[in-house]
Amino acid sequence: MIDKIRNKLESRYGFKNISLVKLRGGDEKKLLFFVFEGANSIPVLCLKTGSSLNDNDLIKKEFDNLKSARGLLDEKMKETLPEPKELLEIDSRIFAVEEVFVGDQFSKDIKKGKLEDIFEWLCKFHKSNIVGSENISKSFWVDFLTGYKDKIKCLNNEDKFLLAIKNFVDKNWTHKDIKLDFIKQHGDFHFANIFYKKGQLKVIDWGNYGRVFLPAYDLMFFLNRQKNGLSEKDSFLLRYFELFSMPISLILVWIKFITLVEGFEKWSNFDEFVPYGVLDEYLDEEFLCLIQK
Amino acid sequence: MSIFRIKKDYTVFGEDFYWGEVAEEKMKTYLDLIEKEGFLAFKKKAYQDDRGFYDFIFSNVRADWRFCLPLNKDSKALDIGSGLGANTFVLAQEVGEVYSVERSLLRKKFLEIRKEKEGYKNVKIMSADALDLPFENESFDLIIANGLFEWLGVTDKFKSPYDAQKHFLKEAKRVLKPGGHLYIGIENRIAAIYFLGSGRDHSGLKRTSLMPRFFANFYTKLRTGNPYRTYTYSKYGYDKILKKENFEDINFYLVAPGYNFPKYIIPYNNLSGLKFLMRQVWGDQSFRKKLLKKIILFPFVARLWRLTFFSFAITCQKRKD
Repeated sequence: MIDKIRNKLESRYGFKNISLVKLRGGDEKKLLFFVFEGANSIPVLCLKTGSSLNDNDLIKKEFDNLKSARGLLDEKMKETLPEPKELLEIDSRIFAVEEVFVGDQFSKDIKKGKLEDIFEWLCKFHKSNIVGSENISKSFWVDFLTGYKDKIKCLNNEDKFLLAIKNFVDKNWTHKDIKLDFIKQHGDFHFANIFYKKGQLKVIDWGNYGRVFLPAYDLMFFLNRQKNGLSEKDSFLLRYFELFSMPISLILVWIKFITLVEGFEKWSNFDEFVPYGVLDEYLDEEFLCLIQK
Repeated sequence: MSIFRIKKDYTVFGEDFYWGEVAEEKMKTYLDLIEKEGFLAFKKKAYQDDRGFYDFIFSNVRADWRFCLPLNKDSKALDIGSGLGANTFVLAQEVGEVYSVERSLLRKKFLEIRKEKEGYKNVKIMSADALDLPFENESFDLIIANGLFEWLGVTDKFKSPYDAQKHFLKEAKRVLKPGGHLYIGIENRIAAIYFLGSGRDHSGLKRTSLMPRFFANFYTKLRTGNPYRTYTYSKYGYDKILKKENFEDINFYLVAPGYNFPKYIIPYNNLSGLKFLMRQVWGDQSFRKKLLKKIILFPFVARLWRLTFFSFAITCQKRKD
């Protein structure tokens, strides 16, 4: 396979003497090849492919997402996303060819100055990705969560569980209808998908991009994976709320809901045999006791 | 010579011999569970018991070395010492036919259940001796010896482990089609972790691979009562033995964290790739990592690291003529 990839890239891009280094991505369904030319110290291209031939659609989707994400951004912001080149098919396998991302990867413990850069990037990105607004009421939440009914069939007492969620909404959502911007999210915005070099960020992994969703979802997703103290997280949330004209009084309950939504997202993506414990970090005990055997 | 006999309901070529990631008793418990509650119940249990074990069986990463080889829907592969099928079943999705050979009857039983439950029609499972393969000459396009080569010496058929390994290469060459490939996943005899004493050799003891063979033999007999028969080699050593058996187009890849889970595959000659990947993968926050990233930039250090890398994926080809 590598020989065929090599021949194709050499003929299409005019590279000489290339070799490929394989790296498996975090989600295991995708793998990357870094393409090196001769003895160059940095790669010239990045190639993505699926773990199995069944993952071809996933690779195509990510490639298209990347193209449409760049389409909404100004020239300066575009530079923070890898440039998609083309899709290649070799032996029934799809490879997405992209500009390579070079730089250092972040860890779970990002220093404050760099957190600031990431926060600024996310705010700019979300501002460019507002697609409309919607009234958020109790019924919105109930409709939203019952949308998961099909995905939670594996649970015992699924009806009880949904009822508990409705009660949770009744108890916690005391706000009247609030009109909020809806935003196309990155969808997997966490430290391992952000690279930086000399003050410039590069954000990768656009497989989940495009979902129109609640404000602050990406931000919460990101902050939940950071080791920094809560007060620091709160300050970013406060600033985000101000920027998107959201009432500050909403902040605590918003955190609860977004965290709950993230739990649902994560959980519904797992196979049914995965232990329910995966939700432990997202749900309160009153829910957990309903879904455990 | 094959030992042909019937054991319970299986036809066996060679001795039944259990080894594995989980103890034999545990494996029996899993098979009981499959029988009573089904394959899905086993998957749940394995996942909950040990995520590493679960990935070891079901993760596609295990067979990522396949990208290094020219395989297609017409290829016929032989996976020797296939264990619980990590390589067999990933390959079966991409090649025409896979013969999966496993000496342990318990593991073979598991393979058969997995084949049936996951619906693979192009997988044939059998027990056989790697040193006496029950196949016609020139049958396969690919032979997989993942974590096998070092164990070949554990037999009384040959005086020296080296002879057993040479015999296996002859056997592999016999059943490979002209131009067919052999894949070997194996440790480096002179891996840094052995020098540092942080890893154990296949003998179960520290640093035995680094000792001269006669001394390792004396030492293991003294410490464990068993002779030293699990020979590994350095890159130079593997190259030499493969060339001696007339294999050509020999390619070495550095695989990390190990050949059994090759998340990273770096061509041996691509030193820039090694440096780049490690710089890229390591975060920059801790002082230790920052220091390591600086140190690795020195060509001498990178070369030394490559020389003492933990494990290799090796591909080579039987002559076409």
